[in-house]
Amino acid sequence: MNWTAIWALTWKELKRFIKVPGQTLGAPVVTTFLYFVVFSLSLGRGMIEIQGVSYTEFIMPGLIMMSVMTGALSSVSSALMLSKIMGTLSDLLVSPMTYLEMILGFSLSSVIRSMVTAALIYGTALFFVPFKVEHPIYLLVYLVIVAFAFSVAGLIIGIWADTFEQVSIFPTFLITPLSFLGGIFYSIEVLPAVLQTVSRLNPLLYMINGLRYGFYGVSDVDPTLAFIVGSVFLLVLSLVIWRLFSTGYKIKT
Amino acid sequence: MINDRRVISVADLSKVYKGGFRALDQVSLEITRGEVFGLLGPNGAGKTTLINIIAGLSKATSGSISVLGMDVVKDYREVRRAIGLVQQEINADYFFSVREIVAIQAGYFGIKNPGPAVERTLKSLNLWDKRDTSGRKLSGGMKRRVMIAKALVHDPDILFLDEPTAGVDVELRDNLWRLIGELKARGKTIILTTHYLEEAEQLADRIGLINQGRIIRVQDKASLLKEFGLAHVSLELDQAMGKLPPAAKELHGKLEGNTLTVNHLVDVDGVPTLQDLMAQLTEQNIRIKNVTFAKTSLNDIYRELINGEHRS
Repeated sequence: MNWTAIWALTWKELKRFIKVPGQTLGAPVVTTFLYFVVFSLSLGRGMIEIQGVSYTEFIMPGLIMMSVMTGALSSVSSALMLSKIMGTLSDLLVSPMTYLEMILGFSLSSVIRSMVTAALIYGTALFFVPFKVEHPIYLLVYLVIVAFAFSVAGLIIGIWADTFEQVSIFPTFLITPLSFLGGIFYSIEVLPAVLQTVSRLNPLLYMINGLRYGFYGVSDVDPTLAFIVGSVFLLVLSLVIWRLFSTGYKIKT
Repeated sequence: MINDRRVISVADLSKVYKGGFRALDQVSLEITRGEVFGLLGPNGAGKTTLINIIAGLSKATSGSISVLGMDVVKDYREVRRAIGLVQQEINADYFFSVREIVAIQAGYFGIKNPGPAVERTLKSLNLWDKRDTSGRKLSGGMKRRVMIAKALVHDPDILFLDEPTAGVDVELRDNLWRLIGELKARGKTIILTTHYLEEAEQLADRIGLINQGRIIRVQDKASLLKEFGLAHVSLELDQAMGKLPPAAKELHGKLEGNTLTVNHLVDVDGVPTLQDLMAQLTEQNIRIKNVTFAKTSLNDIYRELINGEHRS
């Protein structure tokens, strides 16, 4: 494993990310800030409690998770798309880097970026909620696993897509709706039995609740199951991306 | 002994694209250490496909390639360290400065502290003054130069230049030609593709002619040019000649009535010049009434080769 090469790619992508801070850091923080303000003013104000935490606290992990998932996926897919359009992907392909090193280089930058965004959102949230982390190790490891999984998903999309339009479909039409329906703003306990069952088919439910468990020790799903779902998600996507790279799908003619 | 000098061996290489287009057809080729090899052919002949397969951007359908004795597929990491590729299509990363672009490329090749290598490369390409300029703000010629810097920063033994002078102005073309000379002097092996006969003539030691995916001739430049000439000169004489004068024979001359047509060459050792020919005509009291001059195009060479007029 050539870590110098991996780091060169990671550093390049991070630097690109730092060069447009408004888009990459500002946007998710502002969006989340608005959610907090709106929801805590309209619904929160300490009156509503779900599973023993205030409403504002309740929605915070889900908002972080949604931002991590969207950010991880979008940053890698657009990075790959850009390098296809600018023609710089071939610079990577003529290098001695292995596919695994390329995958790691891209994903690491995205994971680091997601962690920074998550920390910023949490920092913003501290204006509204008290500092409270019940299971810090679970929380960190889980966040990294999910960020990694969505980075790899972003790689898959970046390779597959031919246009930015195709790239933007996934965050808008998949992650955002599945996050909203995955219990960011409510506990699925309030849903009718049928909808609860349907909700349990949504993998994002496990990710959002997993993070909520990390923060407060409360969750709609078994935290071990959430951990397994996240890990399996990462594993399956990794196998897919490995297959795409090694067959040269859309990369090598 | 000859084997030791071989840096690239291509054996029976074929490439068939999806849809059945055969871009390369049983290509075999050997490149020798330290030479400048000109791969000459019209657009779509398979030049880019061939070097892309060697450099790892494209996959072969069948056949094998070894570079410095290593297989390009099995030992790709070592092979790629030995190769630098300058692609035909100009690319640039809009987010980074020239220095950053080249340093990132050095990083991909595992160079831990790329500073000195980047500085050396940029200086050798007259890019040091532009080191902090963004990729976005570079002119086409500068972008091309940055691409060469990227290909050279890991100090490869072998450099591929795919149509290096396509779309560049005369000044940059001259710079590139000079640079290729310097790299050759430093012992690099250079493979360049071009569809300009003139460029191959200027730069190459050996020329490979490729057409429709097949290598139709590989020959050292001097003998190829001797055979085909850079240009054809037709001399209209004041009388018919019985037989070709000796100089005309060596210049692949032809007689048709009063017209003598010969290949025109410049600076090829041991080959008579037009002046020698004229002197011989003067000796025989033959006067020249008119001269026409036609540059040899690649098409002319192909036509002659395909018509089978030349066999060597």
